[in-house]
Formats: sequence, structure tokens, C-alpha cells
Amino acid sequence: MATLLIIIFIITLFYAAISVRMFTLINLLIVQGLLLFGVAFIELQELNVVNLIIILVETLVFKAILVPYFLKRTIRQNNIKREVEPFISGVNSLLIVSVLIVLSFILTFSLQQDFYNVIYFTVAFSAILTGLFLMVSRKKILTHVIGYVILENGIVLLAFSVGNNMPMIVNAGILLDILVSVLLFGFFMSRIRYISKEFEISSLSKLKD
Amino acid sequence: MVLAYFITVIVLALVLALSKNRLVQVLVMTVFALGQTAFTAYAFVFRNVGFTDYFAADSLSLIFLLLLTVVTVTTIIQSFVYLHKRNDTLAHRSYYLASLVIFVASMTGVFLSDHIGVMWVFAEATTLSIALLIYHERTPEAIEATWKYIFISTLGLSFSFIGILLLDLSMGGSAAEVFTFSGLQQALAAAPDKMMLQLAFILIIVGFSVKMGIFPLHTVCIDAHSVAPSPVSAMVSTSLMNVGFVAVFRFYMLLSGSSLVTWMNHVLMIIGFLTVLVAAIYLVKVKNFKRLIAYSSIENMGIVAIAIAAGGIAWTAAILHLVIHTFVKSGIFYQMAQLIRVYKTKKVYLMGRYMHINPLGGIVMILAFIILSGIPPSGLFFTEFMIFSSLFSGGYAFVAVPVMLLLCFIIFTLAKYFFKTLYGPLEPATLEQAEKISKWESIPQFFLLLITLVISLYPPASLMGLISDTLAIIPK
Repeated sequence: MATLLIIIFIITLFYAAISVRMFTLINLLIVQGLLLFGVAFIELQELNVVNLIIILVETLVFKAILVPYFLKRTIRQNNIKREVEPFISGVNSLLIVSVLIVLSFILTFSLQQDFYNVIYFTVAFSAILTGLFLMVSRKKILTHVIGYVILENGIVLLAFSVGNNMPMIVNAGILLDILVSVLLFGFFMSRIRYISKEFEISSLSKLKD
Repeated sequence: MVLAYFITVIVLALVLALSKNRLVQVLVMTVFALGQTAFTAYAFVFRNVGFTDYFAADSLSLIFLLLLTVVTVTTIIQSFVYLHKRNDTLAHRSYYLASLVIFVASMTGVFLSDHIGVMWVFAEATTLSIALLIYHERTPEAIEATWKYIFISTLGLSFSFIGILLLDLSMGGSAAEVFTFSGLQQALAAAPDKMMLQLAFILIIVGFSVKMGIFPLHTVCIDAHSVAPSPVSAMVSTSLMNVGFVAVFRFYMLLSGSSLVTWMNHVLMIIGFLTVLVAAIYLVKVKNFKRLIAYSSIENMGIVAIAIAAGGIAWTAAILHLVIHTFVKSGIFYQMAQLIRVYKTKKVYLMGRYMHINPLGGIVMILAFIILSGIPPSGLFFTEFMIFSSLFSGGYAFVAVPVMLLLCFIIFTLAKYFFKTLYGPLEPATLEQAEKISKWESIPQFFLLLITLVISLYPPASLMGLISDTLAIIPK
């Protein structure tokens, strides 16, 4: 069951590579949040109850509801154009993401452990690399934030694959951190309006020597 | 007690953010300064005793907590001067002070945490709490620097977290509940999977290089320095870099028992060398005085990274170097605030005759330059001497010689701009408009310089004791 969810997760990565609309990307984040909730629900049942409940509630509320909501609100408030505007076309992005997933496979197998969740590990690394790829290949600042959230989803998956035995304070801290940073990103994004109307990364190049 | 400290801090920050009243601001900041001092004293008395599950004060955390507290007190004083002179609205002042309080508390959290995950959470908290401080002047540059700083920092620290997870995984994925620094050293020494540990170490170093200001991700640190209010730059350049150092050094100590030591030394040596090289190259082009000083900080952190790699006596030197650097660099940044007020610009080629305009501030600049460039009474001379002699005796002469040449070049560049500002020509119009600076504003700088001098000439036995306690854990 969890494997199925993870395979859907990797499909969302492919979809993220070819989607041209901002809202599609954000809806993918909602799907990923729900998938992570499902994975946590199935996999982490050995954890103590309080810790488990905190992880579940936070994953659901933050990742599937609040973060996408803030991102959508930022788009509406700032009248950001709805297209993604990639440097690299959709087909090429798809190819690159596929290569990244193969690379994650190779990395996982070269880190050979007597450890059971090879598939978790691969998908987590793929998500991390895809997030990074989305950051460097898209012009919009908001796409960078979406790439960051995908990367964080990958990290959460990696943490689940280790069995998530971090203490409660760390889990709560990490999820809260993602929420606060997305909030801050939204706040400063609305400030970037004063520098440039384009919300493109090239408008942030004043500070240099 | 730790819990009480953090609850108090949150309450104080809330009071500051909500009240927007001048008297309340002064009162709350006084309470915070006293509380921070009292808490440091408490940590000092109950050292080497675990406070709660995730916090403990060992010698390393005590050294840097002490530095943080001293710099916090002077920064609070200088912040009030800064806010008063800028005539900020009360709301802006409240946000500034509230962020400052949370920022200091999260750094305290990093120093005192005895659990890797908890330390990571607090390191991330420093990133989030500093955002409003960098943004304070609300210029386009400030927006850009803040955006870059938060984005690259959170990204970098995400990498560190992957590193921490891999560390967990390399021990079979069961150790996270006992992820304390003291408990892990033996476990890691026996860890079989070398490649996993190497990957973990690289990711952790790259992540914390944002905080420490060393090679791969140092650029955002420079941007943050150059636009942040000067009292905040003083903290970024000293305490926040110490946060990065403590994190990197703790991981180094964790892995120092394993078979990775030589490899780790090489990694740190390369990173340190590249950091010094980058600082030297960029200093040629820099025209912004604050960026100039920021590159000098970067260079010092590069030397510290090399010192960690050199080992032996250089470890003592590295910590002592950081102690002295913290005091002198925060002094310089407080002075920067006055410079910017006098000339109303950060561009170094528009500055001159500072000795004539503000003699007392000029003396601070000269003394700080002497200490920073490592001219003998300065403690940095001794520490750099120890680091280089350790490099030579360790067979790393091929690193030491280029670094020394680069250092000469860096000192030359710094001297050029420092003395141009002090004695160089200035347009008469600017000279007439120059703001008179009150003598009292230089008192904190002299206080810090005095501490530096004392530590340089007579290193206190208690400090040296703390340093040797810290290093006693590392297997030789």
C-alpha cells in the first residue's frame, strides 16, 4: 500500500516537470502532502502515540492545506502571471527529471545497506534532486519556492524511511520551519513588487562586487 | 531552567512586538540583557550537567555562550543608538528589537543543545529570526539580501538535515533517540559504511557553511552583512559565524574517532583555502566598506577551517582566534554605524579625514586594524603563528605558504582602505555637513578592544581551561 503511494509520488514529480501553469504545480504540492500523510499513517505506527499524532496532523495541515493556500494567495495578491516560464522546455525537463531519478537509483544502490527501504530512499532523493532542478530551470521566484517545498517533501520522505525516530521536538520544529519559511517567502515576495514587476530571479542581481 | 529561559524570551518578544511603547522597549531590553547574563551565569555554574533531555552546557558551548552574551549587551546598547539616530517609527523599532531577542535566544539554543536534531532546529530558527533584522532598512537592496539569505540558508540547512538523516542511517537507523553529541562518538567510530558517512559530512559542512561563512555558500552571508543594520552585522559577523563553527566542529569531533579523519582534514583544508582565496580575490573589487569588513570575516573563518584540519595546537589556536575575532569584529561593525552616519554612504572612496571628524572613533579604527591584521600585541598574531607552525610541522607547508601570501595581500588591502578613510582627502562640502559623533558612543568599542587586549596579553586561565576541556574529547 505504501509502495503504491510512493509510486504515485514519483509520478507527481514527472508531472511537475512538464506542467506549465503555476496552479497545477501548487495542486501537485497538495497531492504530495496527502501522499506523505498516507505514507506516515501506514508506515509510522510503531512510534509513540503523541509523536505520531503530531506528525500526522502537521503533515496534513501544513503540507496539504496551509502551504499551498499561502502560495495561491501570494499569486492572487501580487497578480503574478500564471505561466511557469521555464528556461528549459517541458520535454527536456521530463528527460532531465528521468535522468535524475535514474541517478538516485544508482546512488541508492551504491550506498548498499542491509536496509530494507530502497524504494523510499530512491524516491526521496529523486524528489530532492527534482526540487533543485525546478529551482535552477525556472525564471519565476515563486517556482523557486515550489521547488523548495518539493525538496522538503523529499526530506520528509527520507526521514520516514529512516523510521522517523527523531524526538517530537525535532519533528515539530521541522514542520513548523517549513510553514514559517513559506510565510516569510510570501511576505518578501510581495515586497519584491517594489523592485520589479516581473517577479523573475534576474531582478535580484543588484548586490555584487 | 532552559524551558523557563525560552518561555521568558518568547513572552518578552511578544511584549515588544505588541506594545510599541518606548519605555516598554527600554525596560524589556534591560530585562533581557540581565536575563541573558543570569542564564549564562547559571549555565556556567551547572556546567557538564545535563539540564534537560536535549540541552547541556559543555565547555565548548560555555565559551561561545559567554561571547554571545557580551556581544549581545553591547549590541543592545548600539541598537538603541542606531534606532534613535535613524528616527525609526516605534513599530519598526518594536519589530527590530523583538527579532533581536529571538535571534539571540536561538543562538543560545544552538550552543546549548546536546542533540543533533535540536541543534539543527535552532540553527534554522536563527535564519528565520534574522530576516526582519536584515530587512530593517527596507531598501531594494535589503529586500534582495533578505530574500537570498533566507532562501539559500533554508536550502543549505535542508542539506545539513539530509546529512543528519544519513548519519542516522549509517548506524542502522536506530540511534536518533540518543543522538547526543557525547553519546555518538563511539557509535560512529565503529560505523561500517564509510561512503555514507562521507556523504553525510559533506552535506553537513555545505549546509552549515551558510552560517559559518566558509566557501560554498558564503556569498549570502556577505550580502546580509552589507545591508543589515550595523549592530546586526556585528552579530552576524561574530556570533552567527560562531554558531556555524560550533556546528561544524561538533560534527568534526563526532567523526574524529572514525577512519574518516584524514579525509575530513583534507576537505576542511580545501574549503578553508578556497575561502581565503575567494576573500582575497574579491577584496580587489570591493568598494563598499561593510562588504570589505565582511570579506575580512570570511577570511578569518577560512583560517579557522584550516586550523581545524591542521589539528594539535591549532585547535586551541582556532578557538582563541574566534574569541578575539568576535570582540574586535563587533567593535569594528559598531564603528561602521558611525562611519555611515558621518558620510551618509557605504562607498569607501567617498570617505576620508575621519581622524579629523571623529578622533575617538579614529582611534578605535586604528586599534581595531592593528588587532585585526595581527600585529604583535594582538592575539591574532599568536593564534595565526600557532596555526601556521602547526601546518608546517604537519607537512602542510604547501598550504601554509600560499595562505600567508594571501593574508599579506588581504592585510594590504584592508590597510589601504582603513588609512584612506582615516587620513585621506575629503570634499569640503561633506566635511562641513559631517555629523558630530558623541564621545559616549565609542565606549562599547573601547570596552571590547580592552577585553581583546587583555585576552591577547594574559589569556585568562579559566578560558584556557575551558578550551583544553573541549579538546580533551578528541581522540589524538
